[in-house]
Amino acid sequence: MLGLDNNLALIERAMEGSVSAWERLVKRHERLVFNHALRMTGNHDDALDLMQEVFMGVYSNLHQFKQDGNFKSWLLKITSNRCIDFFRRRKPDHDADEEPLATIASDQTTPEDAFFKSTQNQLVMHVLTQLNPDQRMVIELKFFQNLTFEEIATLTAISTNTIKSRFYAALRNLKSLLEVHHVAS
Amino acid sequence: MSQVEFESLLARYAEGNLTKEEQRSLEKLVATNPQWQAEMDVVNRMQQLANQWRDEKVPHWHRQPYQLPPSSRWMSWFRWTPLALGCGLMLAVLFQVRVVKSENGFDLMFGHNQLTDSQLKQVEQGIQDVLDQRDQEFSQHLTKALTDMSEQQEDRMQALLAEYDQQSQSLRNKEFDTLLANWRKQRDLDLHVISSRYQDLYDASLANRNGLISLAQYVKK
Repeated sequence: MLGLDNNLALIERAMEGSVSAWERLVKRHERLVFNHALRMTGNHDDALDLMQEVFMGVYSNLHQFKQDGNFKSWLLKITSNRCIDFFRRRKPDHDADEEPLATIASDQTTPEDAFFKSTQNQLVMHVLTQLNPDQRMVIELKFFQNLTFEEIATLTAISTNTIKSRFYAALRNLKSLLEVHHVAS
Repeated sequence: MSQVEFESLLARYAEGNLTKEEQRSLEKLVATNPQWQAEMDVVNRMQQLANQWRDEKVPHWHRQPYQLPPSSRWMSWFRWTPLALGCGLMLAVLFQVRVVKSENGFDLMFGHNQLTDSQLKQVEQGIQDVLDQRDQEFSQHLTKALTDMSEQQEDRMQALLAEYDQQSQSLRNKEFDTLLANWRKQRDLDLHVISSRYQDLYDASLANRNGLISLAQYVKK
């Protein structure tokens, strides 16, 4: 049964039609994808829709996953592509002025935890939603997924120099945003 | 140090690739430039925010896929089964494959079966018998159907005539009653006129007689 816990084994079984293997694979990675999407979109509904799109994309492309590849990187790549599609589909006036919704408190243990989590996560979402999608993607992958610039460049199929440029531009934007929040708090 | 060199150093700092010596020199460097200090603070602040991020629970959603998985094994083994069966059946029909019971068991035969003249006659006779029987059954069914139809038509025609007679009689009676009523009314009117005329004549005659009597009395006087 040890093999069943392996991503590759789960993928193979899912490709053979095993619903339980697919569900186990999804449950293992859905939190990563959902929170990634949440930080990118800034609200839960869009994040949930995006996550479903990502897993539909994963499911229909399972046979293309290389056995020697890293599933998490592959998943992040699909998620990033779906995020780009999402922002292309979205109207421009929804980009920057949308406030993040209140966080879901169903998994929170105490009111203090809930308050702290809600405040921190909302601050992050608010700050990220002030950036344009390209800069947001770089910040997300850099700080929240801990990828190197080369890895981000490979994942997004963009040159490293462009990624770095977006990173510096994002830092300049974040500087004023974080100063405002620091003063406000 | 130029801005480009600083950004390159900052990128390495963000990735944690600086040596301790490089990091110390960077810290000294940013202390001399508030703008660079602010950018480095942003990196540190974002790393702090990233560490403070607490993953949110995924809402309930339908994890099962809506379509069957693109399984190559399943497709390769079972996708062609109905097609292969169909092709086999088509070939069997084309080549007239038959399984015939013989003395040695079952034989697989292809193509036409060569019949003898007597067998052909028997087959023809059988076909003719079947055709005759069908003609006979058809004639019987046709006769019965025509008879039934004729009877039904007769019954319907009689019913129609009876209904017509009833309607005509009713109409005639109604017209006769109207005629009789009108005749009686006219007769009453005529009698009334005649009676009034007679009364007038009587009155005139009476007046004449009274006039004659008066005249006679006057003459007598």
